[in-house]
This record gives sequence, structure tokens and C-alpha cells, in this order.
Amino acid sequence: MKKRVLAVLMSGMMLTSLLAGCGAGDDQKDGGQGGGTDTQKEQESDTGSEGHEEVTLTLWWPGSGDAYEELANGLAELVEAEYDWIKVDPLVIPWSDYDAKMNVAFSGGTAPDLFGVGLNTLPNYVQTGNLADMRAELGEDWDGWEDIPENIQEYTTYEDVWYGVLMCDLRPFMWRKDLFEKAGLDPDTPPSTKEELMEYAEKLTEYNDDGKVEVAGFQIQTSGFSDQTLFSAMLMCGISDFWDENYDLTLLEPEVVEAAEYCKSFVDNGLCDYSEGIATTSFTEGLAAMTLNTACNELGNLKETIGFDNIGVAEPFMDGVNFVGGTIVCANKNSKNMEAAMLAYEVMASTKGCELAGTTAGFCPPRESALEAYVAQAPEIYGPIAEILPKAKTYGPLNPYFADFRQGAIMDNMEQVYYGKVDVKEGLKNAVDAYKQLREERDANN
Amino acid sequence: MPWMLINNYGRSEMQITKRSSGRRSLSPYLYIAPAFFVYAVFILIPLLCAIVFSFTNYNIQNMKFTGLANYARMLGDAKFHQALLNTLLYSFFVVAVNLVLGLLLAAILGQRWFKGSAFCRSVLYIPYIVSPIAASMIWLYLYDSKVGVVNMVIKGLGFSGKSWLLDEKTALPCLIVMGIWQGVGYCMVVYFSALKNIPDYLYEAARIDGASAVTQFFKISIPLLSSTTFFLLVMTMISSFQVFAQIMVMTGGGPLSSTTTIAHQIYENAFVKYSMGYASSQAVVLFAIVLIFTLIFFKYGNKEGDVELD
Repeated sequence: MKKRVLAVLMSGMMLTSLLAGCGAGDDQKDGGQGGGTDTQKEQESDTGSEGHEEVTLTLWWPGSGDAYEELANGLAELVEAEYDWIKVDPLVIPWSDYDAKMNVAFSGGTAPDLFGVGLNTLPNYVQTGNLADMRAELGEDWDGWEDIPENIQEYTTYEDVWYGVLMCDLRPFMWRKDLFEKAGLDPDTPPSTKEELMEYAEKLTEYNDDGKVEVAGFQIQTSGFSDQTLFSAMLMCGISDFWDENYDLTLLEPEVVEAAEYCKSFVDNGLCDYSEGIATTSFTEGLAAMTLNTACNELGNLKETIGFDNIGVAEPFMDGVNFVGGTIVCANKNSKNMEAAMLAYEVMASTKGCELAGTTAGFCPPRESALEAYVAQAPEIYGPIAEILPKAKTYGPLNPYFADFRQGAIMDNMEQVYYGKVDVKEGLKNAVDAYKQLREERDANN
Repeated sequence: MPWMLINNYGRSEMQITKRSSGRRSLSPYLYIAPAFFVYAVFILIPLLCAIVFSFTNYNIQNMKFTGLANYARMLGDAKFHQALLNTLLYSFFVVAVNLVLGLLLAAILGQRWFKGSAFCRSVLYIPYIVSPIAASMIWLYLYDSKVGVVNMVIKGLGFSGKSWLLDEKTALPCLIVMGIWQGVGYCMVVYFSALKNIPDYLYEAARIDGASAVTQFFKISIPLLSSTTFFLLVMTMISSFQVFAQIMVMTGGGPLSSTTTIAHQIYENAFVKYSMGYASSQAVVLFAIVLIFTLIFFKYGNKEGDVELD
């Protein structure tokens, strides 16, 4: 009998401590990072809150590294300086985990009040039904409408609803001045046509003793997000959309085939050996002499590693059109602190907030009023980027099938092309077929 | 095996309890209740959920019953077929080499003439306890085409280097080598202790009968190690079928899907493409494959009957 009583007591204690552990997690969450709509601390503020209850908002930002931490913390401080009754609890989450965490948070009702969203994934977030219509929330008299270029406003509009300010990740043409000098090229004159770009790449490519590419003349992304290089090449070839307004791919258009063949010719000409893994970071790592595929967010790192003296940034390249991506600042329409969230949003999307994004994480600020501070950091580097902004292009109208396009169609098939398994046309056709199939499956499932 | 003994002891105690009291006692169940609760929450319920999700199109936001559609899709999914082939190749080589090499190392380190056995065992065992992510980073540097030690050695021998992880022909073998490096220490330690448990008089008798060292190894050691071999076979097979961290860190499944495995495909479908339903069906298939292999090994590998299935 004693044994049984003891067993019951022990079992009870262990289960209680287990459940208490879970409970403690919830408490922590409420006061901390992952709380989302349940996170407000409803306590009376005792200073300057003018009758407002003190609230804590959560802010999630995708990215990793000190610069993003600095940005998220800086935005929180800006808001807190403006409104002493609003506390902002920032959390920076690596891109690789971000969408999964956000999806889980939306499903579980613990999504943050304010959060960043990758430009191309916006439609998927909209489908969750959690994003606030920011035009309605901010009102027509918001000063941003006059201050943000039209193209940038348009890129964050999906099905006639505007979802927020885009902190821009531009891809300017960048080159290594020191390597230009080494190759006998004028370090202040970048190539200005496709043909010149190829010629320059031939002169700039360096080989090791085994005949392998040591430094690629021009950075071509042959694995992973190969869509980015291809899109920049498409812009050079005069076509500016991966898909039309019905989300049908344009990959079989002659200009796209031409652009893909142009990219492939760097590999075929031995200027960019696919087996050396010329990836997104190769320019940053000093393994490529020219790039159209390095985000302006990387400039902070480049300043430290290569030095701004050795880097050139071109004025709007060729037809003046460059690729833009970025992070949209969005708000949770189901936030329990909508009033506070909107006040915080206005601060984050203000000129000061945009300046902060430009001076910490290296985003090109979307507001024209914030460009001065951005350019002032290093006019010869940031000046051309600011000029690119009003004409910069993204992949096309925001596409709800973007994941199918990127992960299911283009990445695998362009890799097949670069590795010489199929020719360019066949690879692009396979990509179109794969996309169609995945799109049909997605439509059937929804 | 320890867990087998616990199982038998548990059964005996249950029988005794039942006999002595004439009815089933509640105490044993209460003792295991907390552990079972944890097991149910973290293993059993997720497992059942995965099976249920595998018949749906679950994508975090929506869920509709789709019958066997996910399983039918798998039949036509070339990437999954590639992943299955890669997983089988990886498992076959890692398991086979680990068992053979682990036994040989244990036999050598167990010799009286071998000095520094304890040190060597520790060194060989360390990779097994190193985090797979940390180990992957180490090997990433070793295989690096420009500054990697592997290429330095090869170039030192007068050959040209290679981008090991970016060549579709060499990427998977590179991962297999790493898998062997990480697992051989574990096999060696288990074999070592099993060899120590073989009574000396058997070897003595064999020596008197004129058996050579090689004959003793094949006629005494290997047969008496069959239950250990069987145990290691099952355990290493299960862990090798689940290989993921190395793939994720070192190759991301590429190039050209040459290193993608079933576990990697499950991750890709679940957390990159958000096809949770499809990923669940792949997880169920992986579970079925591991179960089938385990049952086959139990049927044909457990001749001594030392290890009980229930």
C-alpha cells in the first residue's frame, strides 16, 4: 500500500513539474520574444503615458549578424524614445528558419505584432490572413506616399492592397578596382555592354596551377538561387519579368533563353568553373572580380574585408535597370495592440527608421528623405545605389507560386544547365513544365 | 543486452505481482507513467500525427484529406528516388565499413602487446560524441578546394586537387568517408568490450589444439560476437538512414541532388516548400524502410536468439 501511495505521489510530482515546465515556457514567452498577440503587459505606466497602459510589442526581423541585431534594437529604441508607454521586444531570426517560425507562429496565434517579410514571399503571408492593409491603417495623409518612389510602393502591393514599406536590397553592378588594375583595365571605367562585360571577364579571370578558376571574372551563381543571376542577365537583355500577370512563366521567351545562354557562356568559356562553386558570396569572399548579384546589404562587410578603395559601384548599369529585393515591414492585423503597433510602425517607417536601416543593415532606404544620410556614409559607393532605386525591378507581379518557381522549377533546372546535363532551352522548358505541374497541384490542394 | 534484461526483469516482476496478489497491480504502471507521458508527447503522438498527415495535403495553413495521393506522387518523384538511392548507398557503405573496421580496430587495440590502447580508443571515440554540425564544419574545411588539407596532401603527392563537394561523382563518397570517421569509434568500443567478455579458456583450448591467431579470430571471436554485431548492425543502420545534419551543412543535397537523402527531402518538403503532408508521407516511408530492414535483421541476423523483439 505504501509503495502504491509513494508511486502515485511520485508520478503526480513528476507530471506536475513537467506541466509546470511547459507553463513556465508560456510565461516566459508572454514576457519575451515569441509572444506575439499575447505579449502585452497591461500595466499602468507611471510616466508620461497620458492615460495609456504600457504595452509590449514584439518585432521579428529576418537576417543574421550584428548589423541586423543593431537594426532591430535601434528600431525598438526609436519607438521607445517616441512613446514611453510602448516597449518593443525585437528578435532577429536567420532567414533559413524565418518563414517556418512565422508560419508556426501564425498557426499557433503567437505571431509578432510587427515583422519583416521577404519581398517574394509576401503572397504566401497574405494567404494566412494575418497581414494588415497598411494603406488603410496609415491613412491617405501619411507622409510616406510622397516620399517613397512609385515603383517601390507598387512592389509591395498585392491584389490592390499595400502591405508595407520595403527596405530595399538592391543589386548594383560592383567591381574590384584592384583586380581591374592588375588585369590592365581602367579601374574607374566599368564595362557598359554585354559584350564588354564578357571581354572584361576574360581579362579578369585568374587560374591556379591546375588550370582551375581561382578568381572568376564575373560572378555567375550556378547553384542555389541561380534565378538571381539569370534575372540580372534578363534585365540586360531587355526583359524584366519572370512571369506575366497570370503568373505564367516567360522562361521560353527568346530574350530569356538568350539571357540564360549568356550566363552559361561564362561557364562554357572557362571564366566561371561551376565546380568551384561560384555562389552568392563569391564577390564578397574575393573570388569574383565583377558582380550583379551582391546585395547592397553586403557593403558593410565589403568595407571591412576588401575596403571601399578597392570597390567600384556603377551608375545605373546599361539600360539603367537593376534587380531589387528586400524586406517589407508588415503589421499583424490580429494584433491585440493595434493602436500601439501602428504608432510604432509609423516610427519604424519614418525617415529616421529608414535612415537606420541604411546605416546599420545596409538596406537602401525607400524614402527619398532618408537617402541623404545613406549616401553620406560613402558617396562614391552609396550614391550610385540611390540613383538605381527609382528604376529598379523585381521579378514581376508578386507571385503566390513563387516557392514552386524557385525551389521546384528554376534552381534544379538551371543547375542541370550549368552542369551540362541539358542544354539551355531544354532546361528552361523543364523548369516551365515543373512549375506548371506544381502550380496545378497547389491549386488542386487549395 | 541491458535493455533486454530490464525487459525480462520487468516481465518477471509483473508475473510475480500478478501471482502474489491475484490481480494486476497498478504500481508498475504508475512508476512508468511519467516516462510514458514524455514518450507519448514527444514520440508516439507525433508519430501518429505524421501518419495521419501523410494522407492529407497539410501545409500549415490548410489540411484536406487526399487519400493515397502523396504516396502516388512519391512514385513519380525523381528527386525522392534519387534520395532513396543515395540513402541506401550511404547506409550500405557506412554500416559495412564501420562494422568491419570497428571489429578490426577492437581486435588490434585489445592485443596485450599494443601500448596506448586506452589513448587510441579515446581518440577514435571522440568523433562519435562531436556534434554533427561541428564535425561537418571541420570536414567542410578539410575538403575545401583551395585551402583544404585533402587537396594539400593530394597536391603534395603530385596530383591535381579537386572540388570534392561540388562534383556530383565525389560528393556522396566524401560524405560516406565522414560518416565512417564519425561512427567507427562507437563500433570499436562496443566490439572491444564484447571481445573482453569472451572467456580466455576458449582461446587457450584452441591454441592447445594448434589453432592459429587468424583461425581463433574467425572460429571463436566472430561467432561469439554475433549478437554484438547484430546489435551494432541495427543501431548503425538506423542512424545512417537518418543522416541529415552533414548533408544540410556540407552540400545542401547537391550538386544535382547527388547527396540528397530521404531525411533531407523530408526537411526540404516540410520546411522549404511547406508540403507537410507530402513530407509526412516520406517520413512514413522512411519509418517503414527502417522497420523492414530491422525485421529482416532480426529474422536472419539474430540466430542466437539473444535479442528479443518484444
